[in-house]
Amino acid sequence: MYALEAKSLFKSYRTRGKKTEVLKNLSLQVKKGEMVAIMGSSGSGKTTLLHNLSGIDLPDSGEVFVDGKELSSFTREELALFRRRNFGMVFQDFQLLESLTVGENILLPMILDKRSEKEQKQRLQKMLKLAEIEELEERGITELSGGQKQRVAIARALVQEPNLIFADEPTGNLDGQTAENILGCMLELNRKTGVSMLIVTHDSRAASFCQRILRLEHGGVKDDVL
Amino acid sequence: MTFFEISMKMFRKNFIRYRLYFLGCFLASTVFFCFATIFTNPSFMDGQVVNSMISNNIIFPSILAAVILLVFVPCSYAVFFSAREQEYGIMLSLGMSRRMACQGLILEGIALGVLALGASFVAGTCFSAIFYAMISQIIGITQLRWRIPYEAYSVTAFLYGIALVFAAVYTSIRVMGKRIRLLLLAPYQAEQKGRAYHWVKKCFPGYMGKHLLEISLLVRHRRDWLMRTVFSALLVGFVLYLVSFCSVFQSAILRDVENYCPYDLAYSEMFGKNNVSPQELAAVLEEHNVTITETTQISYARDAAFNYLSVSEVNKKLGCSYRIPAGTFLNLFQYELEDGYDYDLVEIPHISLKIEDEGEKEGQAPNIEASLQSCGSDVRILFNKNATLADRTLILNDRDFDKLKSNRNYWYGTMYLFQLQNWRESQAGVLAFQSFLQEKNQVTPKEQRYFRADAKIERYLEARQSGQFAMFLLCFVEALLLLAAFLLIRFRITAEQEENRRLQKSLFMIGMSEAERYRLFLFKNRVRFLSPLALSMMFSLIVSYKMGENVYHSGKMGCLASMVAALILLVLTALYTVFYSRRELVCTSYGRNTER
Ligand SMILES: Nc1ncnc2c1ncn2[C@@H]1O[C@H](COP(=O)(O)OP(=O)(O)OP(=O)(O)O)[C@@H](O)[C@H]1O
Ligand SMILES: [Mg+2]
Repeated sequence: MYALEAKSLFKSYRTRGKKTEVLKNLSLQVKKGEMVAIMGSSGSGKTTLLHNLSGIDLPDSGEVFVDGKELSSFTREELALFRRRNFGMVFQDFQLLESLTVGENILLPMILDKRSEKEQKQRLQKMLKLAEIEELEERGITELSGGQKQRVAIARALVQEPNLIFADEPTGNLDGQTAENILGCMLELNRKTGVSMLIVTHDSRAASFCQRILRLEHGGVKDDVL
Repeated sequence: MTFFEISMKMFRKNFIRYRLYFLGCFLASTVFFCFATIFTNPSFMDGQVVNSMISNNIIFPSILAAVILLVFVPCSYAVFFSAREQEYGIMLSLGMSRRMACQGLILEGIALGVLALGASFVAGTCFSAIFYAMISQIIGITQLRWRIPYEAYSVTAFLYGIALVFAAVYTSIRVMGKRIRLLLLAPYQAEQKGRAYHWVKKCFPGYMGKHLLEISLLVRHRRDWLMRTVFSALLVGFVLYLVSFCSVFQSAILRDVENYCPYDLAYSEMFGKNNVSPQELAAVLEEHNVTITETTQISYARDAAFNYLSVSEVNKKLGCSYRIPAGTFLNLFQYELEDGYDYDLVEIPHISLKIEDEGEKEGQAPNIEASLQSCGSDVRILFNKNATLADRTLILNDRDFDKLKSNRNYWYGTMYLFQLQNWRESQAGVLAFQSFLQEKNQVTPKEQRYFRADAKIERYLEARQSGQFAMFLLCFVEALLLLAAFLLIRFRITAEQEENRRLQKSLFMIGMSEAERYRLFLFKNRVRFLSPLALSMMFSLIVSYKMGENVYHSGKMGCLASMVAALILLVLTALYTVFYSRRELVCTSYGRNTER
C-alpha cells in the first residue's frame, strides 16, 4: 500500500471560455516514508497537483488514495478531520493568518485539534527551534521577512507530526545555508518518524535531499530515480 | 490555547474591520426603532387623540425603514464575511471542519449583531425621546406622550432577528459551498473583464493605453458595482423625488383646504339641533373680534344617501345657472378633480322619490314612488361639507323639491354659510362658537361631533400640522435613504481595501508617486460615488416633473427643488471623495500594514 497514490488525474481551469488543461491523465505513487521532489518549469502545474492531492481542490476526474483510502470517499467533515491529523501543508504563498502571532500560527493545527496546553507548548518550542525562529514567537506575521514567513509556514506544517507533508517550494525564499538546515531537519524527521514528503522545488540541491524526483511535464510526471 | 481563545483573539484583532458591519446594523436598527416607538404608541395611533391624517403619515416611512433594515443587515454581513474569507480558508486548509467554520462565523456575526442591536436600543431610546419632543414642540402635536417603548423593543428585535438569522444562514451556505482553494484566493480574485471592456480596448486602443489603470480599477468587480450603482441611484433618485414632493406638498394641501371650503364657516340646522340664528352666531363671534361679512341660507332635504337642493335656490344664492326640467335631477360632484386623488364620478341614472301626489284622491296610499331621471352632472364645490350632510348631492327642479318637503320620509334642514372678514384670525371665535353649539344642542362632546360647524381655519390648521409632520418624517426618510445609498457604496469600497493595499504596494514598487496614486484613487472614488448620483438626477428629473405636473400642477417648482438638492449633494459628495481618497490612500498605503 502506498502512502499516496494518484490515478489518472485530470484538472483544467476555465478562463474566459478558454480551457487550460493542467493535469492530463497524471498518475503517481509515493511509498511510505519516501521523500519525493516534484520539479517542473514554472506554470507546469506543480501547485495545482499539490492542491489536488491534498484535498484543497477537487480534480475534474481521477482518484487520490491516501493510505489506501480514497479522498473522495470521505465526507467533507471526515476529510477535514483526516487532513488535520495526517497532512502538513506548506503553501507557496504561505497563507499565514495576519491577525495572529507567529507562535499562534504555528499552533493553529493543534488548536483546531484541541490538543492540550502542555503538548502545545512542547511542540511549539521544538518547532521554533527547528525553524530557527525562537526569537520571533511573539511577532506579528506582517513584521516578518519572506524567508521568516516561509519558516513559520514549515513549522506549522510539521507541528502535528503528520504522516504526509505537502510542501510547495519550502525553501524558495531561503538562503543556501538556512535552506540546507531546514531540509536537513526534514530529512531527519523523515528518517526518524517515517513521514512521507512531497516537496515542490526548483532547486536541484534541495531535490537532492529526496530519494526520488518526479518531473512534471505536459500534464504528466516522469520518474527520475536518482 | 484553545480554539475559542484563538477565535476571540482574531475577533478582537479584526474588530476594526467590522466597524462598518456594526455601523450598518446599528444605524438600520436605530432608525427603525425610532419609527417603531411611534407606530407602537397607542395614543398616537388612536384616531381620538391624534388626527388619522397625521398618524397615517407614519406608515410609509416605517415600511421603508423596515425594508432598509431587512436589506442592510444581510448586506453588511456579507461585507463582514468577505473580510474573513481568507482566514477561514486557511483554517479549512489546515483541517478545520466546515461545521466549525460556520459556527465560528455565525457566532461572531451574531455576537456583533446583538451588540449593535443593544447599542441601537440605547441610542434609539434617547433618540426617540428627542424625536417626540421635536414632534410636540415644533409641530405642536401635544397629545403625544413619550414612554418607555416596550413594544418597539420587541418589534425591532423581532425584525432584526429575522434579518440576522437570514444573513447568517446565507453566509453559512456560502462557506459550506465554496472550495477551499477559492476561499484562499478570495482576496486576490478580481472578476473577469467583460465584453464591453474588450470592445473598448479594441476600438480605442490609444485611450485604453493611457488610462489602463483607471479603467482596470473600474471594471474590477463590475457586476457587483453595476448592481450597487443602480440600486443606490434608485435610492438617491427617490430622495430627490421626495424633495420635490415636499416642495409642493404643503402648498398643495393648503390649496385643497381653500378649494373645499368656499365658505369660512358653515353649519346645518337639522334634527332639531344647531338651532342657532345668524344673529346669535354674530354675537358669539363679535366677542372675539370676528365679523361676518356675508350670510347665505339654503334649505335642503336629505335621506341616508343624498342631499337634495332646489335649483332656483342654488342658482339664486350660490351664483349658479343650472337648468333642470321637472322630473329630472343633476348629479353634483363636489370634488376638486385636480388635487391628485382619484374620484368616482359615476352618475346615478335615476332615483325613485317617495312623493305624495296632491292630485291623488283620499284613501289611496299616501306615498307613491316617482321616478326621476338624471339630466347630467357637474363637478363643482358649492358649499362646505359638514357632518350633518350626506356625502352626495342632487339638485332637483323646484316642483320636485317642493314635493319632498311635506314628506316625512325625508329630513329637512337649513344650511348656513358665512364669509368672515378675516378667517385666518377666526380661530378663537370659531372655538367659542363650537362650544356654544354644544351647549345649545345639549349633547355630550362626543355626540357633538355630528353637529360641529365646518370652519376653514380649523381645517387649515389641521392640514398645516399634518403637512409639517409629514415633512418632518420625510426629512428623516430622506436622510435614511441617503445614508443607505452611501453605505451601500462605502461598504463595497471598504471590502476592497486589501486589494487596494496590494495594488498600492505594487504601484509604489514600480515607482508611481503618491500624487499619482492619489489621483488614481480620486478618479475611482469619484466614479463610484458620483455615477449613482448622476443617474439618479436623470431619473428624478423625469419622475418628479411628471408626478408634480400631473398631480400638483407645480412640476417646474418640484424639478427645481430636486435639482437644487441634487446639486448640493453633488458638491458634498465631490468634497467627500477628495477627503475619502486621501484617507484611503493613507489607510492602504504600503508600510502601513506593519503598524498594526
Ligand atoms: N485559478 C486559476 N485559473 C486559471 N488558470 C490557472 C489558475 N491557477 C493556475 N492556473 C494555470 O494553471 C497552470 C499551472 O499553474 P500552477 O500554479 O499549478 O503552476 P506551478 O507549476 O505551481 O508554477 P510555479 O512554479 O510558477 O509556482 C498555469 O498555466 C496557470 O496559469
Ligand atoms: Mg506553484
